[in-house]
Amino acid sequence: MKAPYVPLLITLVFNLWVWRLFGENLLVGCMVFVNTLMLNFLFLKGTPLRNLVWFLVGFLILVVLQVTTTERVFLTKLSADEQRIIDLRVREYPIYKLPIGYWLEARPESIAVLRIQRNIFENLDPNLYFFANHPRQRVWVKEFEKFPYIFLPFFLYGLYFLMRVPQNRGVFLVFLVPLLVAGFIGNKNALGLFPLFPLLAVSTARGLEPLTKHKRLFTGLLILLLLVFIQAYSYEKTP
Amino acid sequence: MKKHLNTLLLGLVLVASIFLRFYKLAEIPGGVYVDEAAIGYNALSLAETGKDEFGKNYPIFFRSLGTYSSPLYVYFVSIILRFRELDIFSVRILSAASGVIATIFVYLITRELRLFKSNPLQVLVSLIFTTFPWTVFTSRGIHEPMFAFSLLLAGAWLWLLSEKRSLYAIPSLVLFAVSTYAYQAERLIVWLLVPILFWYTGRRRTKYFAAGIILFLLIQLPQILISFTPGFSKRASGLFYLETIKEQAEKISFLPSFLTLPLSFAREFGGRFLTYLSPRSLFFEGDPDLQRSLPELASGYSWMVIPYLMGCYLLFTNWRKKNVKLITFLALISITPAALTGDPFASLRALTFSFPLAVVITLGTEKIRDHTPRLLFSFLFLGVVVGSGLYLWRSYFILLPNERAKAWGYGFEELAERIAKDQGTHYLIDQTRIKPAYIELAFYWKYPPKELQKRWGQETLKNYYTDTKFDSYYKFANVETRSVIWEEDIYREQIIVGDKFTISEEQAKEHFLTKVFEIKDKLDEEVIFLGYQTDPVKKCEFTRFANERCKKN
Repeated sequence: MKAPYVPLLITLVFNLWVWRLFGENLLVGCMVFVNTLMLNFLFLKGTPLRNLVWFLVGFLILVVLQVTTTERVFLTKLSADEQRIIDLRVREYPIYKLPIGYWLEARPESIAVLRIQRNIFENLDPNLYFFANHPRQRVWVKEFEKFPYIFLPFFLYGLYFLMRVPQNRGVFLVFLVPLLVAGFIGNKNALGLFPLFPLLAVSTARGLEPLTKHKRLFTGLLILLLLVFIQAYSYEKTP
Repeated sequence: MKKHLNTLLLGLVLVASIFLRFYKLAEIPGGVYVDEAAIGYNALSLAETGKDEFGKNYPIFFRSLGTYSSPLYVYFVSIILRFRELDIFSVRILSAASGVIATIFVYLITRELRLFKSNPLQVLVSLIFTTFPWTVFTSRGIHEPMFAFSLLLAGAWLWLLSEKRSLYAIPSLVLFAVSTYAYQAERLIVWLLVPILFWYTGRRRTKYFAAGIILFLLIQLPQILISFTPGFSKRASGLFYLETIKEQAEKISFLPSFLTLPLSFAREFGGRFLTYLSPRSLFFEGDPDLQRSLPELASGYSWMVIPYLMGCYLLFTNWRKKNVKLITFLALISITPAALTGDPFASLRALTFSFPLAVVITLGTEKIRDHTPRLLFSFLFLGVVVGSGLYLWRSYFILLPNERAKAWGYGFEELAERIAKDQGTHYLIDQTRIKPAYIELAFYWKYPPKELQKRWGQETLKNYYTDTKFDSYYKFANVETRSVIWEEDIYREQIIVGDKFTISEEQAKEHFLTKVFEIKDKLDEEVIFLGYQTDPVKKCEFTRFANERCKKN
């Protein structure tokens, strides 16, 4: 089957994330869509400089949108209960090790490092993108299915395949930026970490490509995909 | 010289392993968890009478607490009790020793698999394995998983040796079979692992392999014989999330149930399976169960995420190598039993995954080392070793004994001492929320097993594996354990023991109950037990002897 954009089209159509992005914020939705196309084009054409620059400009806009749409979380501000726990913890240290206890528990730097780690690790969880964070849903946010879980093996294969090409590796490093930004500003964004969407979508599409050469397998996959999409949509609609 | 360096490094790793597992073993975790008490007491019962707490002769699975837990650890502790008295050290020592033994086998297996170019990297796998918070924690108070894992590793190493000498296949398969009696997860893992090992070493038609298989099946016979009883499947069926699958299937619109059920299962299983590979679960959040985790520390250290991701990539790129395939398959089958249970991250059931995880992290570390200036790498390596040690010390030796004391049964020792000193008073321990108190008290008192066995008759023994209901009601010594019956218990002269929710201030006032003792946690913050003395005379006078019990008294 010679239709290089079919896998990308399938990836874009059969995920709830992009529809939510368009529904909640049209600008974000459009930018994500455009960036995905640009990234796909970039990998197809072997990262020529001009295309790279355009992609980076679009990506920067996405990161700015991430910052502006995220409710900022302070890295060192403590609630009364958190302060109580810290005071309790410092007391747990033996008297001659109190300075260490204070450094590990009460210093703003230690608190900030812990929160940055928490924010980053939340976004490094593959369940966040393929299983609506199930079974470790976060209590303070309504999780939603981003990509159908059936895309996961294709995402992994596509990611590996793209990373094998040395010219692509620099582009991958760029996606560390929104991760680090989220580390500092938090994850309180109903749209999720959308600057990562192009990477996920393009990798999945790349992983789907080999399957397009086998008509029966591909048809089977589409049927399965439709069923899983119905499942994801049903969970989304059920309170 | 290089050989001596390797031996020296391994020696240092073992010293670290022994220290991390034996230092203050009896004191940390503080308290005796109910499962530990059950293991210890049943071991005592076996040692003294040859029967468990119910009076069953050498059971295949222990019915204690209605869990039908794996028996091997209890049998080994009963041997230890022939040389030591029953205390928490006697119960924990086998698990701690298993952790050290597992470290040795991790090194040996890594060497046999020839995964790394240099020998020190094989030692690094052992170092990472032995210093994982995951393995330190499970060596020091969770017992069965690490014991079973050490048997499994021993079996795996012998299997790899059987490539050169087939005779080793016999002890290998025997150890695999025996490990299924040590922990529940091994019952599934072994059956998945053995075919994979056959594939790895190629088909073997020697008499030794045949003998090994026969012995393997013979050892499995006791389990097979009771496999159709509710007791055999109780643990597994209780943990499997069948109800969740059905609920989620009902939410799916427009599709018939023969499609919605498999879809629902795929999502539930897939989500749980992936959690065990997620950096968030492995290196930041860990097990949500307070008794099965460390405060502020996950199964691994947060810095490990970088070599972990690198190592995962390297598994892909080196997929054609047989030893890489083996590690990958081992990782996937290690997670399977845990992914079939409802817990979001059951660290105990997935303990076997700690070995392939250590290998993957070392693969990633090797790659990083190859692309980093030597001095910088040495500096970073030293930094992570010191940092990891500091955070392990903080979580395990400072925070755990204080914050998680209640989760580990802290308070029962003091309660047992108090009740023992007050033999003339009847104590009623409320079981609405408190873990089964009878086994904790029996443990601390070393209560004569023959006396406790008297509670159970022939009917219980006959239905040992079929009647799986757990009854927390016990009456022995001067203690009774059950839920409070308000219409009766306040009219009896006794002390009612409960948690802070058992008796409110209003109830205490209404029923003329006087608080006589309070047991708090180690931080002196949270109340664990409260004891209230009843006053039937005042209560009867107040109610004008309306209650029948007043007339009886």
